[in-house]
Amino acid sequence: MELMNDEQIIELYFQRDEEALKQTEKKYGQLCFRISDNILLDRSESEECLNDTLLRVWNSIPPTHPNSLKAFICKIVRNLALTRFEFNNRKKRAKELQVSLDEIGDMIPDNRISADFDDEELGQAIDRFLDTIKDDARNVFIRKYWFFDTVSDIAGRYGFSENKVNNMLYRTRIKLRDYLKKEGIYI
Amino acid sequence: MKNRRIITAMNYISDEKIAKADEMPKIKYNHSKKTIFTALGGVFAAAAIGIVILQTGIFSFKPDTFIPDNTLPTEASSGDNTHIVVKIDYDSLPFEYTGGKPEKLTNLSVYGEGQGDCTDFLSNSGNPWSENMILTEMPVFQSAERGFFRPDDYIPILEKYSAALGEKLTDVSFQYMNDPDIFGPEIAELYKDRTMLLTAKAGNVSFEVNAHSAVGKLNITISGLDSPDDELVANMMGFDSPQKLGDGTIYDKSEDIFMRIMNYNFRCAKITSPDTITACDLLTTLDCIGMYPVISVNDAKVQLAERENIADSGLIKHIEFEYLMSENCEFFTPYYEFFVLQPDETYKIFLIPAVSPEYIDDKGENT
Repeated sequence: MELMNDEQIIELYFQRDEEALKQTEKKYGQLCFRISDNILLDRSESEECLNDTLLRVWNSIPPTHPNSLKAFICKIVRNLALTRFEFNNRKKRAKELQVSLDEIGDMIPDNRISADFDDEELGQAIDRFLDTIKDDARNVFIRKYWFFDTVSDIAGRYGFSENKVNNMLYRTRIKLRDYLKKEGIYI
Repeated sequence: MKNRRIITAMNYISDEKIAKADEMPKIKYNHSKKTIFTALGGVFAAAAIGIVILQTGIFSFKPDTFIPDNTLPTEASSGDNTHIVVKIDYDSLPFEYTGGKPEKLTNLSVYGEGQGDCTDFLSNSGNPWSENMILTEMPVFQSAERGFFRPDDYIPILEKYSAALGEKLTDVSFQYMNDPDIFGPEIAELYKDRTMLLTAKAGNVSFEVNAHSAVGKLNITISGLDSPDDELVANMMGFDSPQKLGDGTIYDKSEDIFMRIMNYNFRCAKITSPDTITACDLLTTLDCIGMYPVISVNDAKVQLAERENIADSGLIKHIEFEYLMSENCEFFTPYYEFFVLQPDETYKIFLIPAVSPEYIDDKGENT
């Protein structure tokens, strides 16, 4: 059976048809599970996170009509998994995830961000920066710091060596730091 | 808290980008991949920094004729084990290089010669290149953005070392090395705020951080390590042994030789063992315009002899491989740097472009 397109699925949500949940899980369940598992490293918790995500999507559409259902769902599962991760504070994963976040976090020290600069503005600045770099570098950056893929997974996905992925991430972090500096976020 | 902000902020990355990043990538053709070179031995010592420049010349590349040369020899022709050949893994370059044709270059200024106290270079050099390395091609960079040194980047590192020694860090002193009385007015102005000297003590041990951002070099020198117990500190700083070496150049020793050359000339100073500390970024961007064939050091010697009429090659006491650019130059290009003994027992430095002459126009023309 063919997968429904996103608009059809969204329409089901608007009709409050529970088939929407089945179709969403069928189409995006695996992706959601992977994102969640990248963060939680726990199969059963990731499955729970997937269920929570479906519930959150059900409660959000309507009134929300996402432009990209895929990105919308990914954001929800990512946030739910991160919240759960923080709650669990599992040491092993905490350390690994912390490394990823520290890499990018070091460029944006809290105490140097203007108080007037909120997270949305920071995020939009990062988004604008991502427009300025090459597709490959952007995708690798997002895979690492948004999806929390491992370097090994990213290398496999794009057919790069791990060394190359590390170099790309390093270069992008440097460019981002300079970009944010110019935007006045990093003094 | 900080990380939570980043996580939250990253939520505002556009849906389109997230969705695109989750698309499976198109399969790409992997062009002429070369393998990383194998080292038969490496010279790896340490030194303080010194760059002296007195004269400037001009030349330009012939970009229209440039074709990346994949036919250059990849193994030492002599067949002995005294030479190593540095090859480049294009998939692992520390800069973006697509293999395209380089942009047209004009008015490429180069350094000519200089003079100075070369004592440190002659005894210990931190340059990862040595005469037994054959470089077949090297990148040329445009518009590399220079970083500037801040003592605050280094003091925590020295504090860490001193803590490992069980001592407190004392006598911290910092200065930009731009004193015209020491370096002369021209050089002092040229390197204003780009050359840094930071010194400190931890008990009987002395630290000296000597950095030069114009060419992206950093040395941390330590003296007074005389106990086997100090080995930890020595290892942390990348020294092989606290007894044998009293100073060292810090860069990532885990990389291959090409990467070490890049690190030494351009990249951040890193201390990789047992902790990873990124001290600073000496050059924040590197725009590669192309990979250029490089002449051998022997060919450079011939050029030097012809240009400067140096009949006795025995007067060449030391050679380095350097990336340099002048104030008015928009390119970083590699050079062989010859330290030649003068009749008055001082040393004169001569710079020969390492890029193959067929890619250079008006070589040696003075400004």
